[in-house]
Amino acid sequence: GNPKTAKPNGEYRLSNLPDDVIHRILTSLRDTASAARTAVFSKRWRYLWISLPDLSFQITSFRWEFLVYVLLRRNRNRKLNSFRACIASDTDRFSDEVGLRNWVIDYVVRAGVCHLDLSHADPYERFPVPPGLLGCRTLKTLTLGDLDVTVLSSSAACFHGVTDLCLDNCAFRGHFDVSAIFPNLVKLRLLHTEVSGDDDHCGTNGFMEISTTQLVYLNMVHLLCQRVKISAPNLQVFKISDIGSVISDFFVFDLPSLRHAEVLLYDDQEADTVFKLLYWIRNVESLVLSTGTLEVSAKCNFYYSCNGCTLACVVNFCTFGF
Amino acid sequence: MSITTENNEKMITLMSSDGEEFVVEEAVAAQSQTIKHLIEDGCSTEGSIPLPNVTGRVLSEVIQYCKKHSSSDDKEEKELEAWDAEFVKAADDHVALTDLMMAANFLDIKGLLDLVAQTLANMITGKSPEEVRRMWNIKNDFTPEEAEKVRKENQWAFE
Repeated sequence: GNPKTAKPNGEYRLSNLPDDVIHRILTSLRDTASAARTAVFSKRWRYLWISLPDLSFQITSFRWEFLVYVLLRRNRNRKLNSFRACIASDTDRFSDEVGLRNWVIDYVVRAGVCHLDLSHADPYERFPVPPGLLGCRTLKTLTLGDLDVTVLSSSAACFHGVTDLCLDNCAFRGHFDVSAIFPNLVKLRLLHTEVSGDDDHCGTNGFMEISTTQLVYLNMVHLLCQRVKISAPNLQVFKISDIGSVISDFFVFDLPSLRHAEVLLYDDQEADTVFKLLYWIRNVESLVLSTGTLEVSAKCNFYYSCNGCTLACVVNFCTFGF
Repeated sequence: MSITTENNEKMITLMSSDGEEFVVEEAVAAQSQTIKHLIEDGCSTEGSIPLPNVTGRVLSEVIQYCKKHSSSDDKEEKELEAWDAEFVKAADDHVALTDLMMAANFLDIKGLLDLVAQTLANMITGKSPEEVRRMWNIKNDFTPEEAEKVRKENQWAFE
């Protein structure tokens, strides 16, 4: 074995593990602050955390000073694999918070980040996605929370490498053509996200288009958007729940590859919408429905007969189920 | 030369650093990216693949893990999680865990690497630096002045 890491009897101690193996352990800790605290163990550990490829900042421990300090101390030669931060507002102390935010995003983009998870600590005040993100060519997965994502549709943005996108409690204004911005998506999650028209609020008149050939997994929870167009020839899993009464027009093209679907709606849903949805997914192998979905489909005399489909389960869907 | 069983499973032989031989299905061994690449490159033609960095004791545990994870599909996720928890519990002492970590790293088995890393991280969490040093025989080689300096450097992490 390697004389540097192996004891005569072949046993290893924690400090003798190679740097990249210790990094694995450090990134399994709760966040980067926890990793930085290991610096006091011994000289071996002092600078180990500085070249971590994965950084994570949680709101409970979040300090702007700490984030800036970590990025400044970081070994710049080390590529940044993942960056996760829930950013809090602290306008009392920082007058140019927008500038700081932009600096942080510019840094992680320059460091070649592959997996980015960015959210705002305050779900009631969405700040816009920092424009520096638009130039990021290295991204593979992107998760945005409590942000205004309208800027993504500016002509400069096209994230060819992103295969996994999650928008949680985000807002978009205008015609949201997801496929134009993320042409190679495989997995898409839209959670509590609202798409509104140019001239209105709260999802009325919003239009969203999802037509990507690679898409395999689509999950929509409480999407606020009036018109949704879905065309995904390779979609295998389709989950939709709590769409509210905002969606009035649903255009779904054939989903020939669909294998599993979940339709979890309340019983106050427009019968027409439910009818259409069930019609489009009629060829699935397994299906999960809520009692609300069943009640509405019974009202509109929808007789559910599909070839070889196993109804996996019917779940009780109550208002406080989330 | 590779052996084939009755159900036509391709078998390969893995040899540990201390000369112990393990005959496993190729599909099980191929969970290790390192072994998978060795097989693809035709390095198993001699009948066995030598693994100079892994002892027989550790290798048998690794194979146990790979067998379990190659026979389960996604639907048994919950059961698999429980199995994983028992598996790392059985290897509870930290020497065994660091050995397992090194083996998983060398053999490039992502699932096992994540599992053991998380277990070791959980062992650090909530402990004082002194407790962690004692647990892993880490010698505190800082002078009091240096220790104070390191703490100051990283003061934000301690808030």
